Amino acid sequence: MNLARYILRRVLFGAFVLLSVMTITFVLSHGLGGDPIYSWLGRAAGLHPELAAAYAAKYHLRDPVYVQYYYYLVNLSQGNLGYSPSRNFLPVAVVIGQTLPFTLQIAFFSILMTLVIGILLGVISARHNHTPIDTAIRGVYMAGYASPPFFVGLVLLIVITYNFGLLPSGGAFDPSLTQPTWITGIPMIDSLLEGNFQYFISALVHVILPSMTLAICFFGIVTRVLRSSMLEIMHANYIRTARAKGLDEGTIFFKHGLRHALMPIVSLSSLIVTWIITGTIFVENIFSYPGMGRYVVQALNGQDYPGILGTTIVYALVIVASTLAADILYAVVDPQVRLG
Amino acid sequence: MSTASKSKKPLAAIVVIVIIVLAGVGVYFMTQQPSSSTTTAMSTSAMAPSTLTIDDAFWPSGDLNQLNSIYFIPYPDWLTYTVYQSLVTVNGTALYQGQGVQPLPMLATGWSASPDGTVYTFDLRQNVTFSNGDPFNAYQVWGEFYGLYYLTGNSSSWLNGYNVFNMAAADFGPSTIALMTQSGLINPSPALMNIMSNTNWPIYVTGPNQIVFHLARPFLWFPETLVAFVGLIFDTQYLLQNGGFGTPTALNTYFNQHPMPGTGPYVVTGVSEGSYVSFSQSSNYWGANLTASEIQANPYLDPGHVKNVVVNYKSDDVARYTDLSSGAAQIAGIQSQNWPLVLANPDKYGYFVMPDAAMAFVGIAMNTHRYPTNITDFRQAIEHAVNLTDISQRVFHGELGTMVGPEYPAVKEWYDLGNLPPYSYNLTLAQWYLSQSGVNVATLAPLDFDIVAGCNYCSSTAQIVQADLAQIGITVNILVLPGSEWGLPLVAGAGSYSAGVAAAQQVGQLTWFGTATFAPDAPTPADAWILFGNDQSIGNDYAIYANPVVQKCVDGFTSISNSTELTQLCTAAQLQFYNDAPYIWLGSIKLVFGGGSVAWNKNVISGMLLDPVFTGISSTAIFNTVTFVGST
Repeated sequence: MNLARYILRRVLFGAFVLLSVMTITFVLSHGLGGDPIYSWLGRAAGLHPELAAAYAAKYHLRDPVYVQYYYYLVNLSQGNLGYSPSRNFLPVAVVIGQTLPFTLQIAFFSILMTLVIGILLGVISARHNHTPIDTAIRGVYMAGYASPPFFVGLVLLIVITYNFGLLPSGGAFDPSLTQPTWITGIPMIDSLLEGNFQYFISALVHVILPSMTLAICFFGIVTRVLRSSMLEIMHANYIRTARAKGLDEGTIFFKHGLRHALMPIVSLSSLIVTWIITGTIFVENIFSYPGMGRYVVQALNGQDYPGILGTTIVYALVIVASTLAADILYAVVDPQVRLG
Repeated sequence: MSTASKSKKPLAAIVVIVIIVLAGVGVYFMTQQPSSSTTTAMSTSAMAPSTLTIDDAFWPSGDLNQLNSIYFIPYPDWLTYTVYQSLVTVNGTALYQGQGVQPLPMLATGWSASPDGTVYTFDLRQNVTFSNGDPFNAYQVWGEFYGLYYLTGNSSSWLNGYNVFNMAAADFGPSTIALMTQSGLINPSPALMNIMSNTNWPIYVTGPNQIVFHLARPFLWFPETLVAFVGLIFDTQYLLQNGGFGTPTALNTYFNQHPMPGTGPYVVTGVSEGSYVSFSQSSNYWGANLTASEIQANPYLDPGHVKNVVVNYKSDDVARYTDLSSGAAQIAGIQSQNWPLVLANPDKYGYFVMPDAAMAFVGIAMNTHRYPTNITDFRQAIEHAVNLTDISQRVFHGELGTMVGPEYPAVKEWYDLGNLPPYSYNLTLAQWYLSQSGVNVATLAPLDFDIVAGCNYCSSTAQIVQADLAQIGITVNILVLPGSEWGLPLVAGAGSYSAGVAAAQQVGQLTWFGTATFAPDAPTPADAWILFGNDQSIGNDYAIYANPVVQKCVDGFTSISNSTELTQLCTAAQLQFYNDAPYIWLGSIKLVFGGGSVAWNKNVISGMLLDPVFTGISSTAIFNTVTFVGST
């Protein structure tokens, strides 16, 4: 199978996954108990029955689920994700546009920290294999991986902020600062582009704790995979050959060993993106970070179907896209993948 | 195999130890004082800060869009009295000192009622402007009220749920709004003036400084219905210039983050959705030069004592307590999770305690339309089996005031007419009522007790009630419903009485009252009666209760102008209510959040007021009333 056909197959499969996720989410979210009009309008639903009826009609709430799904797909085909009751009926796309950049900021720094810490400790662990250092690193990363983000987040909040006052307890930036003008939509990049360094530093300070929380939870996977991969590679024939050639151990380890051992991290990166993106739901709520994770919780609490679906589509898109990218990258590097 | 499992044992031990150490470190540090540097910074700041920072546990559910007042939101409304004022308010000092509800003029200078109690004429303050300089006048008020009426889909209950107007003659809709937009409300055109002064409509103006409300029936407490929610006045002229009201099913969302100007002492200067709102003192505040005695007479008119205010939305209780303890926030809502830490530091933190005579309360409704709670003696048995003192002590830190409903204790002259005592905790009496009910508890299926998810003290209370009722042989299933299901058909009080009757068999025999706590819509004596025991109730009749004797009192509130006659009817109704026992009035809450309250740094803050309907509007201080240590 040539590369173009392989990519096409993966893209089609990605589209199928997206449609499936959307359908399942639609059915499940509409299966929640109660009458959504009471979540949407609160007491006014009982107070103004005519108004409740008008809303129900406008949003097809009394129609069968498949009819509602039909209208949803029709709107979606026109680029309309619907209106979000939990956000005062703002278009879902607008709410996502407001919140997604903040989530991406956390995700970026989390991934960066995860890879830096994960690779660094993976290298140390492999280099000091079966020593107390190795055992200690394995203990720490497994503890991190075994701890849920909300637990790690609370511990960091208490120790770093409450006790030592080193970092702010939440928010995305200092409210007294001027917000950057919209250029790319991502506030930290925009602040850099327009030279608003005060804002950038404030935003950076605010993003550390939530990012660190996720990094603590997920760096262990990188460390573990890298350690195993390194240990396997260090016993490979070409490494033995390098040793026989008289190369020093440092060159063998870093130049010949590490470069190859990093390959599994490429395929792992799509999974890490998935875990971190979904992990933002927890940390954003602990650290009051105004990203999409907070919106998800709000939408779930308010039976906000369009909000639930819109955010699910975005999460699914990110996950499908990162998986697709990893698949393609792997197919490019290793032709056996597409042949198989 | 055995070697591998051996090598995993120390690793597993290390993992467990690291997690335990992490948890231990968290618990240890939480019980310690914060770092000395932050403590010093806080303790030395015995003067007004340049910016007052408040942490709130909630983000306004309707953002900053005051059009949402038709839905009783946005809650919390941080703009109440700080940005928006109303024609009428209540004396906050007296209210929070337990002296009851005393209406006071705010944007009105006064009002008069016709002898039959159906026509209220309000004289408005002159020379008042909105923060953008637009003048405040009767035309703006007229335009706002009719616009809100239109947004409710022309509902007769548009005024905070009070069905007091005959709106049939008011032909208000898009064409009138178009005329308003064309004419403007500062100097209306003759065509618009013709409509505004039409005395056949229930609300009309007689000039720029007088507005008249013509009620369909006498209602002695009409001014109090204007205290909050739709009673808050915004700049309708600004609204018309920025896209108008919208339609009933599509409110103008521009105002979500661009709030309309108000006449209050503060203006919104910055909004970060879901994160914070910043405020600054308004340079156009009409009350900036009010004398100390005038402010003392009506503290909600206070121009404020700090130039800038930031209200942060921090959903995590630990984060809010962290900010309060470190000095990053001077006021924070602390809930039950960290409340013991506030109590443990009495020298450092002050907190809001509401008076016995309050209007916010907690309670349990008993479904009067489903077996066996449809049997009066069975409900009486439950009343006498529940140990309210125990609940107060174990769940509410002893901060639960006695309440004999339905009237709010704050409405003193109408509260507990006949001086009936609270139901006694008496298991013998409970057993007697149970035997009288004819219900065989040995074969009785467990009762469903619906509580709302995410409410710690609701669940703690439910467990105590479960144990209490087990003592007389009644078993209870506690069903935790997510907030999204807290409506019909599962929870009766979310809809009208008739809708509750229709869904009665799906509603639990016991239902937690309100969501977490209950606060009224308007501080009138009628409020509780028309909600909790009314066959025309539009909501909150969680027990689906109505009775002809009670109904006479309920109807009397909006039909009788003779106070003595009404008192007689309601005294009889109170006794009927008491004997029928549709609700367990657990008590009025003294802590704002039931298990916690609004706490502040005592080294910085010296006092404040909360909202005029006891946190029905906002969950934090009305910040223009916040005073600081060491400043006047």
